[in-house]
Amino acid sequence: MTNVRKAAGGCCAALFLLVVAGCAPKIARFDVLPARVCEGTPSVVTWEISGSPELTTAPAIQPLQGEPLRYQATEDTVFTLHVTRWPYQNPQVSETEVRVHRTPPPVREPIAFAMKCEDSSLVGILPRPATLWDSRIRLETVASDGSREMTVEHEARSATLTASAPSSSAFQGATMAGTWKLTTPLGANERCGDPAAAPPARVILTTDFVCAR
Amino acid sequence: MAIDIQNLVETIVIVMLENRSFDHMLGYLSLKDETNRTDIDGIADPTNPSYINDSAGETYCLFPMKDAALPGDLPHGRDLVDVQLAKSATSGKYEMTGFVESYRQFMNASRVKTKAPPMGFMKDGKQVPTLDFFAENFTVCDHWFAPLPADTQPNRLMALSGFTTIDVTVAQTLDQELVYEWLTEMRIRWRVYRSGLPFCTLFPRMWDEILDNTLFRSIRQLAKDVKTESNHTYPEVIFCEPAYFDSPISSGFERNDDHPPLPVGPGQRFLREIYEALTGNPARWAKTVMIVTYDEHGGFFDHVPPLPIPTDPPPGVNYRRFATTGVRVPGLIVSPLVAPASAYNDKLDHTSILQFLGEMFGDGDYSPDVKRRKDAGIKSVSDVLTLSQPRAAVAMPPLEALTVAALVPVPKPADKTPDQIAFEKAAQELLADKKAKALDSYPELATLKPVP
Repeated sequence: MTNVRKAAGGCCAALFLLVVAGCAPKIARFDVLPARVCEGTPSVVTWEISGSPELTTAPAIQPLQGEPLRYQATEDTVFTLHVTRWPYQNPQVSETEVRVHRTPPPVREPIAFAMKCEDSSLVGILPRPATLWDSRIRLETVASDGSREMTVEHEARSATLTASAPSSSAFQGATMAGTWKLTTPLGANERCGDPAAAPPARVILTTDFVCAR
Repeated sequence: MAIDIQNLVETIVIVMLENRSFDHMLGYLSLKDETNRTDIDGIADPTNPSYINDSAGETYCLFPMKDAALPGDLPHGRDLVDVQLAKSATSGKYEMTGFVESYRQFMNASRVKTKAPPMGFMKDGKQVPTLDFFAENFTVCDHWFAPLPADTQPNRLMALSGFTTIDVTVAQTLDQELVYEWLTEMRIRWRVYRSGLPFCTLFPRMWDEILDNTLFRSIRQLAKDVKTESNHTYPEVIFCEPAYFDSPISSGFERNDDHPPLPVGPGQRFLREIYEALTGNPARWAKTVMIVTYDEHGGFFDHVPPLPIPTDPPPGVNYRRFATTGVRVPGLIVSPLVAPASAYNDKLDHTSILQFLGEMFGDGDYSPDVKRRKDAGIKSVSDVLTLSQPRAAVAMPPLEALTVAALVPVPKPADKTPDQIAFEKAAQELLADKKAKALDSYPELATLKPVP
């Protein structure tokens, strides 16, 4: 089930009969922020387009108020923007999504670090924009697969994960947004620039988080 | 060469659909909860961390999907395929983790939804019932690669020539020697059964041929020809072409080449009709090898890195060397000369078909370009054939509900792609150049606007 919301035409609606041939619909930007919310937090839908927009959501939800459109989803919801021009053919379509988290239990999610060689270490840096994350989403634990020792830094905190202690609650209460840094020493048989002894290209951590009350 | 192909094979049938990866279409065959084919390198465990793609700080996992129209096309041009392959700066290995990032860039989006289209895989055999039937009764080739990490035209040129004069799809007509001309030179009977405009409409050098009804025929005539045509004229090599999504006319066929955003239901029906036509004559079927594959992966995830087999531009052509093959695509050998439910795990690509033709009809090698790939490890289709005693034809089960997804309206892109522009331009020029004969063979060309 979907609901539909139509809005007024875009940049050249008044001249559409004259310019339709060269006036293909365009979506320059389409966003829903924050995109990761706890149940009860509204998101705002915005777009920059040329053409006539039609917004659908699945599942159907009602907007809280007008422009900019504010929605309060109760479950994961995909927003689809169709932009057309007369004669309403060949729409351009864009999709985005709000993910709605409920706890308990904690939500488990992997995060991936692309690693680069720096001296005798591998370093991965992952920026995560604050606009994307509901500030009520708070970390519980961070864990590795235990295959190697590594240090995780985030929000002025840090934790060292080892084979014997692959999980840490040092970040409990921290938000998911902000810059994450992961550092791990090169293994004895790993050498940067040597395909035969290459270190891993990325490292995956597992996070558990909850929605704070 | 596994068997005596000269005596056991009389007809080779080639079907090439569009834009789907192996894992996307057939990865389900290895699912532990599904058919659990441990002999096939598919998606045994969708939660495998090495399959995780990341983009804009988010992680994306594989998800099972039902066949359906997609929101739009996926990226598969040379530059964005490079992003998909995700060559590691630390190891030089291809991590296959950039499919979602490539899609995000293609969509000009700050991020994309959790169920990002590149990460969807067919949840079970019901989504691809004809391929599922083929997998159960014939051979799945689980290391069949698109020859190039690029899009439609370069890969189809590799299939039709063994080399390509372009590295990206271009919005214009094309010109290079094709397998049809090689077959003619070798005095081999060949024919294209087409559903609408054939791919070589893009080649003005082929326009006389595509208007010749002995060489290019409607696919509606295939079943009758298989049953009744004289051995003196029945082709030794048959190309069956779908109705292309990129074609400017449909010729009364539903678009069935599997090119996103199309669902794959129509393509499954197309494959089924070919199989039923070919098995309609058991004597001919006993000596037939049907090859089913896809031109390239179309932007869908696959977990197997490309082969380190380089491709250089031909003399006089200037493009950046390809360091590897493209991504894996579905490859199936449907023939009474293979065992049921079998798998072939060695390396194949589209030039494996040309190798096979060279063995069957040439002096062993199709061309120096194809031989170079053979020397680099690419096997021939003949290597897949294992039975010296043909099996009886296997009847297909009744058609299941394939049409539901096909009825969903398919979105068309706001802007024409280079291949769509090329197709339209070629059709317009064909119409202008050979109007009477063109309209006789393809009446729907009358609906095209004249050459600007």
